[in-house]
Amino acid sequence: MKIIEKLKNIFENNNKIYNQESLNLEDRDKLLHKIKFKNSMNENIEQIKAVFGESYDLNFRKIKIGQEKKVAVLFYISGLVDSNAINDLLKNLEVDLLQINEHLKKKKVDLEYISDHILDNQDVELLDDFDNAMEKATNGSSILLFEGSSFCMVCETKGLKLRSITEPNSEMSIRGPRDGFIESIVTNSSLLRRRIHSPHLWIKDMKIGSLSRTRVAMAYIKGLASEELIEEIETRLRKIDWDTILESGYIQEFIIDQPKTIFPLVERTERPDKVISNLVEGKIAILTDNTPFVLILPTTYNMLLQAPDDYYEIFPIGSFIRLLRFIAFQMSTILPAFYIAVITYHPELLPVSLFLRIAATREGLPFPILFESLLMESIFEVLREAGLRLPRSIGSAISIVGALVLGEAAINAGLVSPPMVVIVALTAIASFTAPSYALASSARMLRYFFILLAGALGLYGILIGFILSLVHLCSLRSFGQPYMQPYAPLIWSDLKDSIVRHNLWNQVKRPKLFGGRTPDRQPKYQKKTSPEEDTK
Amino acid sequence: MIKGEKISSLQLSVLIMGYIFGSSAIMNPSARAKQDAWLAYIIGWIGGLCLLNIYLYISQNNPGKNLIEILKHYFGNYLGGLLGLLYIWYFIHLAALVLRNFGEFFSTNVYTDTPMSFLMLSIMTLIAYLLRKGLEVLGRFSEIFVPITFLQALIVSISLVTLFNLDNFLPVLEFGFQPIIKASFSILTFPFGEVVIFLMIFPYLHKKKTIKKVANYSFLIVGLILLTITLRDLLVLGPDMFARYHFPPGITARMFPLLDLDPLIDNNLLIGGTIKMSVCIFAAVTGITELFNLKDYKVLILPVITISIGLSIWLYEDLFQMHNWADKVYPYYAIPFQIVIPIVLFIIIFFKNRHSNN
Repeated sequence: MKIIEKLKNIFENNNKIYNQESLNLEDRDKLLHKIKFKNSMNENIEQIKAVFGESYDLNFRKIKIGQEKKVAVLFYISGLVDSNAINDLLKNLEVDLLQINEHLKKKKVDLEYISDHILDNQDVELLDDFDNAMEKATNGSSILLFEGSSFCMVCETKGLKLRSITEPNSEMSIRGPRDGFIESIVTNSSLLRRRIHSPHLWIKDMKIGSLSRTRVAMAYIKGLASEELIEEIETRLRKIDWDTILESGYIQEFIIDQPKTIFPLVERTERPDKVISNLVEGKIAILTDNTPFVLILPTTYNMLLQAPDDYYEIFPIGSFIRLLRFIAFQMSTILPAFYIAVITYHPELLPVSLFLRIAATREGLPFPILFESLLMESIFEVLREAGLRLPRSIGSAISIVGALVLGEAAINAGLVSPPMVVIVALTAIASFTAPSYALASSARMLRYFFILLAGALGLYGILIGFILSLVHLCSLRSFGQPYMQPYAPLIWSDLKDSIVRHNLWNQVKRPKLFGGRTPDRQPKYQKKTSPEEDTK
Repeated sequence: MIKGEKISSLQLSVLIMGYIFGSSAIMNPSARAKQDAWLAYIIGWIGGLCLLNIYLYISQNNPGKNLIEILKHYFGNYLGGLLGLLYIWYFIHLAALVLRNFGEFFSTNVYTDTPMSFLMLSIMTLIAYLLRKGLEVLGRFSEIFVPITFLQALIVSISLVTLFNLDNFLPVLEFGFQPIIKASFSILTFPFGEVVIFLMIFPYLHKKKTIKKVANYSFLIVGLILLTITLRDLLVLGPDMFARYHFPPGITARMFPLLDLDPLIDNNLLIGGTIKMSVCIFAAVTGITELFNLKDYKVLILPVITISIGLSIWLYEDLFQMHNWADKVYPYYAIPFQIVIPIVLFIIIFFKNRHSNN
């Protein structure tokens, strides 16, 4: 520690020491906290140059103010600021000061005077904390330094180029709003505000990441979300001490209850409507700057199989689609395993003609069925991954190779049996029905587990695997909430919105366990009456 | 008892149902009474209900205490501890018996080439994992699976309706009352009397007041379902085949034309057996924890499971011995655990209560 004390002493005499390459990040950080604004403007400029080092994008604009031609310097980082805002700022400073020249003669010009009288209609703030000011500068603010002031003025001139709001690619829907989150947290929270015009929507922000200092915000409806939950999530968020938060996935990993699981314990979405529909059930959303993915917690298994469309269509259709999705998703985990088990151990389960047909196609195949299915599943996974990574211009190549070479040619060459290809294709299609990509991924992993069990023990093995995975699911908790609710523990009133969806006017209560807060969502049973009934 | 873990009334109810349903899904001691099996079954069922209410009385007068604590309280540390030890043996033995049933069923019916010990090991691994997750998870797991099991049992029964032959009931009381009484006694001790094990589970119930209602209702529901199964097997197979086969439900399911419903029965057995064995092992493990004042029951799970696997392999030479034991020895073996000790407890508690009231 003595070395650092020494360094500090040296630093006080000479800023140049800060540039020494021997200082590591930790020491630099400590020094940064100790730097203060000096009275002399030139010294301040030197200090800024010292901390930013050889970065090329620093801008120091000299301004002469008033008739006395007092020199001020505006510091900003190019690219982060809006050039119009900078120009307006400079114009205001120069013109207004000239106009009120009379005042200037009487009064001393300093930063306080400027912020109170000249830039009083702009978003400015006086700061004496050097560290904080530099952080603001990296956020797109510009900093005005003035001779003789040991503090600075921070002017809001943010002007980052952003992607426009488009429909999220990862979550499509037929009916529903077409807007999705983008990479700016401010825009994202505005998308939420647009849907709830009420001050009860609270969005509380904090900075996470010692180096990246990423803005992370918790959004919830005050009075609906349970206070303990909010507190718990906030403490977990504040505990995170990681240098850079690039995506909400980093946060997810730090705050989940049980790291040893393949199931997603936190739901993420790009759709503002989905976030809002969860917030009004008493859940909490975590928005992270620089990513369109917003986390929703606590998460249940049930939630992961729901899509916004279910609610936008009339309820019988919504229920039908959801049921279909539920079955298809379960199918995507066990279909290949089931095929193997039936063919190897339980051929009596199939009608005789079907079994004979399958047996005929398997005549003379080189591989046992277990190996064949593992091979085909792996090839499909490789195809899928390749399709995701490869440049768009050669995208068609992979589909030709995948479909023709691996499908047709492999069958014609007698390497795999056609029913196997059908099963793999069916499984793949079924797995795409899951609205949550994370859940679909865990199903992909489970599939191998089931295939191996089925190969070893047939249907009995599948059942053992099924029971094992269900026991695991039942033991999971997301922020203290049982993952498998409302199925286990069974909550009758919440079953209205589970595998099927009941009509909205029947869903009076909010889901029970997420705080289960009053008030109800609607007055009791505002049942739709037909016009004839009304006239009676 | 272990603090913190709680189960809801529904979870207790599904646990009781799954537990009773367990291995009774494949074995039916009432089959000895041939065409009067249904009568024997109903008598045993009513007897079971009486026993259940005795157990409930014991538990309700000692809220929050499990069987071992109750025994220690009324019989003193030494005698109570000894009785507790016997009960722990009974629970482990019961787990081993169920495991053996289970292994025999699968190795004779489905996986004739797979070694039985491998089948047993795989299910016990699963149970070890399940119990390490705690009683709550067992409850939640049963909540999902027990309704599925019952649905499957009903589906099998309904799909076989066309094969029912009502003549199989006749002639009623061909051999007099004696075989019926014997069979009903078997039914009383297996599966209904085995509910005594729930004296170890009742203290975990969240809402203590509902216990009587929950236990009685679930007992009645599962009794009805087992009655359907008994009737189905009797009506489809006829009294002779019903009495002769080791596992009548497995044969019944194969009677369906063109389609094999046997995997549904396997499924039932697997789920019911898992619940039954988990409850047995849980009771044994928490009993040991209580008896020896240990802190955590989870360390005991693997040792106890290992013992029960070894025991189950060592129990019988073959299937016939197993049936012999189940028919001739088990009913008498279970008397002290299911009937004598609970009734003595019941009388002691009853008179103490009267005394304190006066």
